[in-house]
Amino acid sequence: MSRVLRRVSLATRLMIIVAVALIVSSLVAEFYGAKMESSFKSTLSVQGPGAAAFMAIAAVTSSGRVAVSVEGASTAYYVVMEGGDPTVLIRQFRALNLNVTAVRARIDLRAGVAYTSASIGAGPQILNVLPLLGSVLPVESAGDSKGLVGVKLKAGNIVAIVATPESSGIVSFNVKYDVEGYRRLTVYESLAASLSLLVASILLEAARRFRTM
Amino acid sequence: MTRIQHVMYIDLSDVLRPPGIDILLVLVAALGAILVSIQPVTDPVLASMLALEPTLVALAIFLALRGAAGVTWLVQSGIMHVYLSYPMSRALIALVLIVSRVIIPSSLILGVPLVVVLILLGPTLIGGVERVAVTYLSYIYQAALYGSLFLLVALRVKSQATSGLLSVAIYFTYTAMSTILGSIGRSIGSDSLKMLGDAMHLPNVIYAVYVGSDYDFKQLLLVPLLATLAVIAVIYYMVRRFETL
Repeated sequence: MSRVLRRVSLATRLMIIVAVALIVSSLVAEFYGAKMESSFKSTLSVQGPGAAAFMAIAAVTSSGRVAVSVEGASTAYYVVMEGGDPTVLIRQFRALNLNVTAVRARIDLRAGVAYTSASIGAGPQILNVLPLLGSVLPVESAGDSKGLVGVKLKAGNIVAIVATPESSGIVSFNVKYDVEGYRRLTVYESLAASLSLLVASILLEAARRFRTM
Repeated sequence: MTRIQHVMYIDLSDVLRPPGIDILLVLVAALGAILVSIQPVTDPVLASMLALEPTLVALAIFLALRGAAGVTWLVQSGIMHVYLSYPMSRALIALVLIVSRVIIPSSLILGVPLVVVLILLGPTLIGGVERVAVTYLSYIYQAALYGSLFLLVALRVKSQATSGLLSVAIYFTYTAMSTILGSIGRSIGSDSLKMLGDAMHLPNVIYAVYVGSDYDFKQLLLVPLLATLAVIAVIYYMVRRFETL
């Protein structure tokens, strides 16, 4: 291989390298590529006076639209933050002496989003903490059996929701996240691009040989 | 062909000789493209960083083992002695060595993964090509800093094994120092330490600029300044102190 590569020009070698890398990466992407949607469901048992349910959705690498339906909540508020980490938020709540239990975190790498839900044992305090993070908005139609949050997130943004339960003490979050603004070449487009590069490298090499003959 | 071009051509032929660099380029380019295709990265700066961060580690090792340690081979084989006998100033030879052993390999090794990523995610990144270019430039500066330091070590010790080992040690010490200073700064609440730790890795500052995080203009200057000082140190050493075996 070394002998063959020594005989071709650097430009030809680079075109072959780009073509091979493109084929390999597009094949991997075809089988384990990015997803355009993701969902997460969390049901929390929120017991005790003043307890609340907490849910945070972070757009880690992607941008998209998140829709969260909250069931079993008497009141719910949400706040959108630029930058941050949901697990860091949980640590900060603990640092504020809030009793955080039933923490459930999941990172959906293929959709570029992270979810964290938890039960927090001090509702009034957590509602007081929220304004420190950003401007707090009430969840639409909260107080009925179902509230809905619809937010557009940029990469790095977080939406955090805090809900106080109805008498049943069970709060459910249903999250649906749709990725927006992402498109990559399909495997066929990548193959076509790779083949074009390989043909161009052959033509370039042939022209070089012809010129030096 | 002028003398400078002649020296540059011979030196580049040594640094870019196949198949080592070809295999490295295929691996880093495929890895970078895989990293941005298994997750839906929509931000041009983030996509570039995801592809270039692992590439920078591979590049640093390449610059240490092929770029800088290769200079000691030039010295031991007597080729450097021939270079120095040409009617060229030592400063010019040092500059040629920096370009052929640091700047050009860095541009290629960082550029190829980015080209693959730009082809693969073209429809997503087309609107942010200038951001990709700025991120690429920040990685070039970072690589130029490492490469020039490694070259200085190689010219000083004139032993391939020692130069390779010392260069890798310098690289890991530098990156560890950046992390340690940043962490200490955050834990004790010292902004200056945190800023210094962050500024030691220029792409992080560029990312902070684009996402609108807190940064200081001085942070943007640290790595380019250190890289310039390292280049000056290589030239100075070559002119005033360097002796062939």
